[in-house]
Amino acid sequence: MKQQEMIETIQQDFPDIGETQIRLMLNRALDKFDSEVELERGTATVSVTVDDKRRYAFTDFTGITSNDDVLSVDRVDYNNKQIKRFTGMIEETDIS
Amino acid sequence: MTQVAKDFDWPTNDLVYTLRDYTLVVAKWDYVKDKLTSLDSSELTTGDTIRIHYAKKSLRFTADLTASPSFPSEFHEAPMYRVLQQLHASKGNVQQALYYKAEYKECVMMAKKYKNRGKDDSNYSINQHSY
Repeated sequence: MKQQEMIETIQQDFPDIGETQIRLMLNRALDKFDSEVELERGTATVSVTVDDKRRYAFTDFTGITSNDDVLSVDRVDYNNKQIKRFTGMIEETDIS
Repeated sequence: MTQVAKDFDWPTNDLVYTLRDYTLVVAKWDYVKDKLTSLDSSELTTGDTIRIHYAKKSLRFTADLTASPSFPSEFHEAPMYRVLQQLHASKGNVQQALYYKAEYKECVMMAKKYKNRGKDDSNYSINQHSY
């Protein structure tokens, strides 16, 4: 279903609401739908080239332009092998 | 410990990841010091890569009116139903608002079923256990 078809369907009930306003509302609705369902998935990689580095922003990964694009991470591989998730507490502040 | 990144056994306990402050932390667990430590240069090799498997946002609408949502077509009505629900609610049309809310919820339920069948490449399995 194209955006235009959605806008026209909505405007059948609400002819006074403009395209820009409806697009804004559709995008907010997409935010809600994405966060509820997490339907779309992807993989992305980053090369490990710097030693003594632990933290990677999601934008360091190929194809990710905004941290907001990542809803959740459920698996991480290092050199194609799955690594475990650390679930403990990091007591020292660590931003390396 | 040397060459952890290349030679660790599966499953490994010493190389772990966690998420903090919206960043990914990949580090070794130091059993002696009870802390996470970075891989050092002796443990890195050219070509080492980290890959994440993640749930991502779908595409957002722009001025291109011919664009469609990037998720499967059977759920395209979901955002439209949500907008109709909100607009009818704002006008006090309770019956219509409830109708579109139900339609939206059905789309969400169907999409969750679709996802759990693995058609979106995610893994969903139930491990068998004996008691």
